[in-house]
Amino acid sequence: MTKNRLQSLSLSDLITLAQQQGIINPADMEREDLIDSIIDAFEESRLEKLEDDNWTIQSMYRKFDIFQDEEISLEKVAEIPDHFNASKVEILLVNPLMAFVFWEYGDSSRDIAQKCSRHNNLLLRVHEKNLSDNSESFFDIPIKFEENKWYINLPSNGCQYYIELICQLTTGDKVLATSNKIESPLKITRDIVSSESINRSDFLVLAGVYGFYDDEDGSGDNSQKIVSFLNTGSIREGE
Amino acid sequence: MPKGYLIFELNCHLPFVKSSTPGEYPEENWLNDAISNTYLPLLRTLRNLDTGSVPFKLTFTISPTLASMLADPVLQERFVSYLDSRIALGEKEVERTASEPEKNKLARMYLEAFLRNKTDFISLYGMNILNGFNELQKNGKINIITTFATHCYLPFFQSYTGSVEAQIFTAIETHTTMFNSTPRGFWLPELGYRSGIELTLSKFKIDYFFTAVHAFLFGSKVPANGIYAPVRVGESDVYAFCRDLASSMYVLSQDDGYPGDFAYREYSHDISGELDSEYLGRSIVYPDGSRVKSGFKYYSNTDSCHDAKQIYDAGKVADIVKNHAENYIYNLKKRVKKLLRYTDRPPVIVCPYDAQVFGHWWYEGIDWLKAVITELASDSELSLIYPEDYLAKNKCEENISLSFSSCGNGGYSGDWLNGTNDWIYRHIYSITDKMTELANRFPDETGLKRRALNHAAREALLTQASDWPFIIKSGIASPFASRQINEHVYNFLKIYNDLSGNTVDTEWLTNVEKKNSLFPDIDYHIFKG
Repeated sequence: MTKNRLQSLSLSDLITLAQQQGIINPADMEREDLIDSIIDAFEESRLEKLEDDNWTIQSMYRKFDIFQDEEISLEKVAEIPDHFNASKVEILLVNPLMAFVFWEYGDSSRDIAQKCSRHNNLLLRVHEKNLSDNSESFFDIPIKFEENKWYINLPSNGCQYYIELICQLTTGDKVLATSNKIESPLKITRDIVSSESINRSDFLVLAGVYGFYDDEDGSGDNSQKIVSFLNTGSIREGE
Repeated sequence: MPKGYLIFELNCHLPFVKSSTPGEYPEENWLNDAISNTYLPLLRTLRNLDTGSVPFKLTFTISPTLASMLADPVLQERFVSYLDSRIALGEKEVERTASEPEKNKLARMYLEAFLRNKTDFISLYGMNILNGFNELQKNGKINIITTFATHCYLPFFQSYTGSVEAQIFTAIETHTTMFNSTPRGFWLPELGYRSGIELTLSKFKIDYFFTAVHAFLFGSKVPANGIYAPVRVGESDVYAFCRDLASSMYVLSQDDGYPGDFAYREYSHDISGELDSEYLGRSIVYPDGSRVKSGFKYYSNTDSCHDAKQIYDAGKVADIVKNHAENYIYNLKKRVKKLLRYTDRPPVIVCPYDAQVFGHWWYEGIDWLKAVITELASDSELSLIYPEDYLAKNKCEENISLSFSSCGNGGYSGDWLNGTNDWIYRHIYSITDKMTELANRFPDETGLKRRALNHAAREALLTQASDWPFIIKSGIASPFASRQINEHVYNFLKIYNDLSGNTVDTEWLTNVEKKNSLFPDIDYHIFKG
């Protein structure tokens, strides 16, 4: 962000921008201090993002990063509907440990959902099916009528999940919507190495990650090892 | 016979961006910068190698959205205006830096580059650089493959198989028109894989695609040759090649890779951050005061321990580029030597890179690529190969079910789905459902209604681009990305509502067709369930 750009903005626009950047009490600051704080906030945010990202993601940012200034948005975008009048619940896999669920109500179910919510009887039922032994179970997450999304932890690996949006009535459960199904593919390196006729160092060579990271505890029991070398990793070629 | 093979996959993609009036969106410079900094210099280098009879085989993914923009006459004219503005700025820079010889030399270098680009663009390629790619493909030097029509992130469309097929169908149609060939390979955007896509790709006669490492590692079993040979995926006749991580690091990492060398030119420091708006002109400073980079950059990647920036010395880097190319090949050959103890065939190392790494971000990257190609031309141990040629030479019948994966942070989907961008998905899915509904509700429309339905299909595909959630999350041009999503949703819903009322707003439709003018032959029936 260039100082020139910020100096061209009105004080009220600067205050809006400072609030968007999480600067505390911007209205109490002098104009020049406010501008410096906004520049610092943008720079801090930029560096944080780069530090957290793996090489591939950094390279993708760079092709869009042609701006000397971050785009400032002081206007609202065009209005589009926030719901589409359909009872619906969807589940998306974020990573092997987490899913994103969103839902909405159609006209026919909105009233009943609102009533159930008042009595704490509106919920998401998370169904889990173990793909190795086909055993099934579920757990419930109470929700409020005003809510329309949740991030949920997926407790088990190798399972299929789907969600039901449910009103609990005295006469029984009423399913308002049923989601698509997803599979949580979590598998850990120890499982691979122990279940197959391959030793750990051979595995690392064949995975192209030999010498990528120091296997500090030697357990190799966490798939997030993948995360560590994808994200950072001081790399040297294997001998 | 080589001991090992190298697949170089250069990924060329940008989301479709076209404003109604010239200069309205600074984001149109994504395309202009890409053509000027990467594609024209890269084509020039590859043509020279071809003319010099240097053998090479590079695989290019050119996305349907990028190809559509490159072939768009309006955007071609705007690119010429962009070059004219940079040439005018270059002439002023040569004058302004007259008393600073080092900077002046660089200003002249940039000016010459813009002038050369203009000559190539207009005279050599007739305003359409796809002609350059087509010529190289015809000469057998590059192999062009495709990707989803609007670069959607596959794992989020698992439940929308009809829409995935619409994406693939449109991609292949566009590819066939633009490149006069049918693609045998497919690039999964962001390397986003989910089980089952192989069966869909097989229906479209695709032979292979690429994945991230953990698609292989966490699959049904560790492949006998690890990530260094393709595997047949699931029950399909489609093969997957796996990306090699280390070779990504050499090229993509600012800290550990070659581009961070202190002698190389720095990307971020640009005169547009220093000089006044009147001098820079309207093509750099937009009416709202925001500025884009001009391309005139005078500093090198100075060691952060030093306070003073060092002026970039273009004459000093040739030897460093050559050393880096030799080092790259040395490391890959060392790896091949080690791998031969484990694999039952010559290993293939897959190196996919975003093409814009070369030239746009890593200024010397195209020279490095040229040096790598030249070195490999006379190397007996390591050879460039096309994926289909590797499959033809090596029987790869090992059958593996692959795991959900991507090239994103942590290897999964968090970059395209998080608290900043999760709001878009309820809109995208709703529109996808409604598009299928329209295709079924209007099975055989003609005339104006058909035009409206075809444009609705275009807008539905455009909402699905993976770029918008990525950009929203990145913080770079987030408001623009949000506006793009909103615009596509709005346009679609207007057509949907108009058709429900048995009307079509002809003037409005004509305007949005002109603006979002890709996929001219789209047929809305592709969404029919």
